[in-house]
Amino acid sequence: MGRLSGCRRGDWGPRALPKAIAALSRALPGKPSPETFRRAKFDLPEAVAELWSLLFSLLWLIHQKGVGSRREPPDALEGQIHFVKWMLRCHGYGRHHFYHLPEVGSQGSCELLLAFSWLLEYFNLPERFLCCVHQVDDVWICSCKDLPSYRVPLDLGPKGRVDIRYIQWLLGKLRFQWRSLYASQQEQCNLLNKIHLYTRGCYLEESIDHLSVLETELFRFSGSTKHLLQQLESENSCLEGFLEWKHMELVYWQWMDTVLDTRPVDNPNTVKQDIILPEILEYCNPQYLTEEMDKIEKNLEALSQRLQEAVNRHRAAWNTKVCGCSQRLQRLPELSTITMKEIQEAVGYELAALEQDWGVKSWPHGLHRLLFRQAGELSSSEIHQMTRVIQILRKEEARLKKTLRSLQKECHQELAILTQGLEGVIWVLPNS
Amino acid sequence: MIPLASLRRFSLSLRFGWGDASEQELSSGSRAAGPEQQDPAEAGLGGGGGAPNGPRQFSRRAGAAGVCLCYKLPPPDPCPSPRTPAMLPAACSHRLVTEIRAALTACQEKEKELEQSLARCRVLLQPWEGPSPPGPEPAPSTETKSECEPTPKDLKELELLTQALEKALRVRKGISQVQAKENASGGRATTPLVTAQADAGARPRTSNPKASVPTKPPAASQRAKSRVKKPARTSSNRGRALTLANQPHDSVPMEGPAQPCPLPPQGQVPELPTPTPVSVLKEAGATGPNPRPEQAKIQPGLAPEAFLLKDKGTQLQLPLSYKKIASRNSSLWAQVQHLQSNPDPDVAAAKARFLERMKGTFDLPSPSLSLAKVQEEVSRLDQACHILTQHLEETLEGDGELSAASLSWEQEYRRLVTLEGLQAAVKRHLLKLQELREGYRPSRDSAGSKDIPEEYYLGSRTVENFTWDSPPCLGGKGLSGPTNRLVYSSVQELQTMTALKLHVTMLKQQIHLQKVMMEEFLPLVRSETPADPAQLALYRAIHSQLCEAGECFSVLVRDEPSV
Repeated sequence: MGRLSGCRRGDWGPRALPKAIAALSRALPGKPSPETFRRAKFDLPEAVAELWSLLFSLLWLIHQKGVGSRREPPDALEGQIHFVKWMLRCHGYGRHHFYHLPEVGSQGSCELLLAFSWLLEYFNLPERFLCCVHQVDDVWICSCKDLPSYRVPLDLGPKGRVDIRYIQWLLGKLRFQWRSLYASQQEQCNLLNKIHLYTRGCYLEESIDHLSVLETELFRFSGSTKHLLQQLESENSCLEGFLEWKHMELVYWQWMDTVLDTRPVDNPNTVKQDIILPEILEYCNPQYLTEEMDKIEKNLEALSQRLQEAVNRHRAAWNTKVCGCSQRLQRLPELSTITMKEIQEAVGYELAALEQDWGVKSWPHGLHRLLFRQAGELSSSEIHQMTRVIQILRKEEARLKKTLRSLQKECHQELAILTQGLEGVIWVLPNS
Repeated sequence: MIPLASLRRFSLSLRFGWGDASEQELSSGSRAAGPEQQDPAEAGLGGGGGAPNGPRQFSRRAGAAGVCLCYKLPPPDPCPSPRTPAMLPAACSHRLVTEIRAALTACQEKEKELEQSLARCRVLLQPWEGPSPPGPEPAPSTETKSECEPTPKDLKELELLTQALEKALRVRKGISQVQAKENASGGRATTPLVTAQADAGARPRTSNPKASVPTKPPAASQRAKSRVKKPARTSSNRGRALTLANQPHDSVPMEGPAQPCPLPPQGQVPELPTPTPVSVLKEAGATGPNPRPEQAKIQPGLAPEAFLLKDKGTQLQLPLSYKKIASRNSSLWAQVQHLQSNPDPDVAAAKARFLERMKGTFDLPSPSLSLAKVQEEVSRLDQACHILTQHLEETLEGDGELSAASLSWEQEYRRLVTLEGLQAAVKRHLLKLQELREGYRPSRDSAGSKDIPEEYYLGSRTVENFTWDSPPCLGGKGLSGPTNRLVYSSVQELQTMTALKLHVTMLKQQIHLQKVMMEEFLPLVRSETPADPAQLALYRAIHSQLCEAGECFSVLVRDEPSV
């Protein structure tokens, strides 16, 4: 790769930078123009508005992806500028010139250019926005993609109190929802399988030999082809832009170095005031972070306690076992020190692997394309993958069931005072 | 509460379905609903979340029953008269109702999505016209255009129409069956009967009520479909219903009952079915019964038969343009993937240098970790906690079943070492949390922390993890090409997997709700001893909800002093 890039670097002429920027703009959703960048280097005011809106659109997209909320983006320039400043502050961008830029968007294009480049690097921007057209049947194998919870407006009575029966009714309704969801889902699997079965033989690639739902719809509704083709075309051009950008990226970063050189360097001894941005409260409530930390601390403390008990118990048992044994013999024939060391090492690796796996799951994770193959044609790895997924899901299910049952048992014990200690009332438990 | 004497009648553990039973029970407060409320479907429903395979046979009925019950029963008045003071305090109510409603909304959203994709699949599986509609039918191009972009809404409406038509068909089948048999010997040219085709094609749903439809209607529907020129979404049902009317003997007797029915069978088959089914009905209703001239058109058997995915699916050829673009697409993705795995070191160095220089110019006083990073760390710690707990439970799960003696020396030692390792890890994380706390200074921003709506958070409060470096999950084409494919070999496998996924999500929701309820209800119960029957009823309800997931109720018996 080094050889290749070396030979390419020699080929770059004076037009390399605009080409690189043009490629970048194809790959980004904002579509900035190279001219804007050139103007920004010389701190010309014409580039300011476009750069603000570019920054805003990118950051808003990132924000939406992260939070998944459905807020409306602010329309006014001022609101957008506030949002951009807040986001960058949260991520630790620290040039105070940037934060002191006026909110009417009249100056500071060079600062904005620097901020943009910093964003590019910090968020790995072009990659993040590579999304694909979903022309295949996908399934999510992911434990974190649970049902999001929606906040619904309440319409309780005037006093705001409800009867327990209302709660019970709501919960029963929820149960029925689940059952009908189950039924619909089973049916969908059935239908999907039928479509896959019936369209076998239309070879797209070697390894796939049936069509997906969307592709079958191409036949059914001839007008939808156009739409899909357009989407694919735009995705193609985005990808081409991205690839070109990747090849020419070096030019851009070298140029940015020169831009940074043009900025005046402040006297490092002056103490800078911190930025108070009261408007950022509109977007973020820091209290919740402290609440989160409290919650986690509580959980960790509880876990630590449980572990303490378990360790004490096991250590005591171990010690009695060892003592009981060593009274008879000089040393432990069953467990030599070498074996003990080995076990310690193995456990150490296991726990370290656990820690590393927190971000990365070892089992198939994420969005998968669903394919159908007859039983005879499967390769061994494919069979294993499906069974592994099912196995993991079953384990997860069993674990959750156990948790639920233990919670219920806990409630039982708590309420035992009630069921056993009431005057004049006999409480007959079900199943008793 | 019930007097002791009648305890015998209610000695069974009372399993309730939902709706009527508990409503009666609670409103009277003085009798438990009798066992006659039990019926097999309801008993089957009592099984908590239900094992994935369990409620399968009940699912449709249960679903229907559930829908019925939910829609027929008006919701109980959230605030009944003060006669029954079994009310919950305001804050408690507020929280519970919010949480449960949020869960319900999430389910409903998911249901909507499923319905849409179901409608799409069903449309594909029913008979449709071939890719190139032949025949010199007068077809205004505008209608073609508007038809070619079906919206999910239209598909849904079509689905509902199909169901309504089915019902109508069933009702009328009894009437027309006799006449159908008579007409079989009539002068109608019967096209070769493709009974299985029409039947199976029209009935992808498992709830097929009439597997033994007589052969006449399918044949008739064949012809009816051949008359419809559009690449349309005419269901075979519609064809069937309309064709039945075309039998001249039927037209008179059917006129009577047909009028009030929204689907006049005498309506002529519309030559140009419009996109929305409603307008079809209007059209059909508007034009008078005029079967004769239409029959003439049937005879020159216009070319295309109904196209069934089942038969012809394997012969479909994707259009060339699509193939070209799709192959370019996948080659581009392959290049991207290659690039991701071989990053250019020079570029990385240039980027790093720029970043360092930028950092050098940062002159605002800022904590060592930015807010976003703190959040990331916090969520990682959260995840770590979960995983460690999980590991602990796995390690300890042999505890109850196997006695210490039966474990080998190695196993026991291993367990001990694991536990100690876990303990060390937990201590480390607690320390890290302390450090994070000290580094994070909320005081700066807490000026005027008003009651801010919850969506305005930097991160998400729910289960979704806020990770910046999760690679973009690209559906099957992206970063890790072949390994992003999940291959299944039978329907059962796919169904098992999706059922398990659903069950896992449901259990998580249940656990969350259980915890919320515990937090809200247990303090209530502990605070005061119940004084009157209404409060006892409240406690009984709480007990059943917390301990039995609302499925079984205890029986409270007043201990009468012996006379």
